[in-house]
Formats: sequence, C-alpha cells, structure tokens
Amino acid sequence: MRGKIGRANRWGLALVGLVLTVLGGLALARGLGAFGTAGTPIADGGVRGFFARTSPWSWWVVAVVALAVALSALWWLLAQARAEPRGPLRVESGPTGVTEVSPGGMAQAVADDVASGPSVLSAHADLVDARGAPSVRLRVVADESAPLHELSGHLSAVVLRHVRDALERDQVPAIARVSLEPSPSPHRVVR
Amino acid sequence: MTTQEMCTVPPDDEGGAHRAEPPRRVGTGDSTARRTADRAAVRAFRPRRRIPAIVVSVLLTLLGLLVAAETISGLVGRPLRLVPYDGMLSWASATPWSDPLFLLSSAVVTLLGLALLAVALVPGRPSMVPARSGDPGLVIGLRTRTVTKALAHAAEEVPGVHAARARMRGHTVVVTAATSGWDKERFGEEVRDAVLTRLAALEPVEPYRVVVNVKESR
Repeated sequence: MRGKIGRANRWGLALVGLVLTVLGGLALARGLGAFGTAGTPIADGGVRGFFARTSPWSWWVVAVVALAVALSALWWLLAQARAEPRGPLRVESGPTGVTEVSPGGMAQAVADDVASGPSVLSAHADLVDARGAPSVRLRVVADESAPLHELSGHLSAVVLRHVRDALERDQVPAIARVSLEPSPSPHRVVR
Repeated sequence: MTTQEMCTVPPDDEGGAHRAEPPRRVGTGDSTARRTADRAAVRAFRPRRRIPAIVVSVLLTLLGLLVAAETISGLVGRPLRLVPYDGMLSWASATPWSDPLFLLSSAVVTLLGLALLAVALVPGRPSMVPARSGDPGLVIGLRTRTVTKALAHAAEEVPGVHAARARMRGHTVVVTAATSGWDKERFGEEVRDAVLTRLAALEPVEPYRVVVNVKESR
C-alpha cells in the first residue's frame, strides 16, 4: 500500500512535470522565434477560427477533459489519506464455508512472538490484508548493543515462519521499523 | 582541537577496517536473495513525495473543476464568469508570443515542470536506515535518530570519552567526542573503531562514511 502510493505519487508528479515542461518549453521556443514569426498574437485568427468552426463540440471535449483531470487528481489526493485495510484475514474459502482469522488477536500473538526474541525490548504488530495478500507491519524496540542479525534471524526464522504456517501461505511479506534503545540497567534488590 | 578519522561501513573491499564479526544469518549463501532483500529494503523506505503530491493534486483538482464549471455553464447558456475570460482573450489577442512577460511566464512553467520531474525521478534519502535482513520477504529499517544515539553511546563507552554526539548527513556519520585532553590520536582511533564496530553490527544496506571529531575538554 505504502509502496503503491509512493509509486503513484512519482508517476503523477512525473506526468504533470512532463506536461508543464513540454508546454512551457514549446511556448518559450515559439516566443523566441523557433517556429517562425514570434510577433504574431498568442490567440490569433487561426485559434479563434478553430474554436468558432468546431464549437460547441470542441468545448464539450474541453469540459470532459477538465472533469477527467479533476476526478483523477481528487482520487490521487484521497489516496494520500487512505489507510491500509485491516479486516479479517481469509485463510481458506470453499463450498462449505470460509475460515477467517481476526487480525487483532493474531497481531497480538505475532507481537508476543517478536518480543520473545533476543535483544527485543518491546514489539507491536499489525496485520494488513490488501486484496487477499496479507502482510505484517512490525514496530520493534531493540537493544542497541545487540547485533542486528540476532533480531533479523529471529524474525525470519521464527516469527514469519509461524505467520506463514498460521495463514497457510508460502509468502507473507513483512516490514519491521526498528528503534534502538539502551538495554535497561539491571536492578539489584536487597532484602 | 579536533581530529578527523574516516572509514566506511560496509567496507569498500573485503579487507575493510571495521572489526565487526561477519553476520550469521539464515540463507547467507544465497547472494541473489540477499541482493533482492537489500534492494527491497532501500525501496521500502524511499520518500513517498506526499507533500508535493498533495499540493499538485489539490491544484489540479481546483483547476479541473474551475475549467469544467466555466465551460459547461457557458455551453448551457448560463456562464458563471468566475474567470474574466473575455479580458484574458483580448489580452491573448493583443499580446505577441515574444512578449517579455509571456516569455518569463513560459520559462517559469518550464522550470516548474523540470522541478517536478526531478522530485519524481530522484530517489531521495530514505526515511530510515535500511538494514540487511537476508530474507527477501523481510524488510528492516532502523530509525535514524535512534541509530545516531546508539553510535554516540558506543563512542561514550571508550575510556576517557566524557560525552559524544553523532549526526547523520546523508551517508556520512559525524561523531563528535569530548575527551580528557591527551593523546588525541589514540582517542580518534578508539572512537572510530567503537563506532565502526557498532555500525557494522547494525548491518546497514548502504555504505556509510564515519567522520570522527575529537574535542579536548579541560
């Protein structure tokens, strides 16, 4: 979802940037005399004659294009605020019924699984199901002095294996955002 | 007084200066999978360009709605006249293409377009420090602020260093360590080794240069 929005933003900005560059560049070139006389008016008789000849359908085309641009831009704008889907995760479906997993309960189990790993101080998990393709989002606080391969090994070999087994899938991609903190200093209790 | 020591993690060649132990990871033998995982980690934390996207989409929505409203209202015989298009038409009919103001406006539009193209095509600095996971299905990012704190703590563990702070500028980590004021070279070396060791243990996907400044505090 995050990656798709990033890609859509880059494509949208590139398209708008390309249109502006081409239009601005052509107008600049025409004004500098690249296409013949630069002293003719911007809206000369040819332009006015074209719209006079083709009216009203040419104006309907302008209106439809403007509406299409406005609706596309509105969809693009709303996509920025769209949250990742967090509904029930479908494990299995068939003629006899559907098996779904509650994302909240499973996310807690995943977070507990992560927290049991070496060098993990705390963990939070979310399960996202975008069009039947579940993925895992993790926020982990890890001990800053521990090597990262301990954490990545635990996530890869234990946590994600459990998630894949539970959801009966070969692949469940995961993104882990890790904060590093000093491990809490040990307390000595004297009785 | 300051001194600077530079090195990179991961090292440019296999005989690099850092002394971190090699990572022991699941499936380390598969270099293709590792490269795929590294690329996925870098891509996952690239800036999404939300601010420019929001600005451009808002402007395009307003412009599209305005043009559509003006055109359709004119076609049905009830022009809204939110835009003084009669005045605009007479200006365009009387102004030549070579008009300096028009040329300047065209140049601004071209530059704006080029700027948007650059924003779209330049990958940008990742919002987190992408780290090696060794698993193409697992992407790990380290929060930059906590990485610099961890590196500063590593520098502070060197005997004789009173305080240290670290900053990350692009792919350069600048560590400033305050010491007791003697044997500056040895401090520089030890702080550099400590920071490189900690940085190597974090297994960043991209190379980072470490610059150490040693300040003598009295």
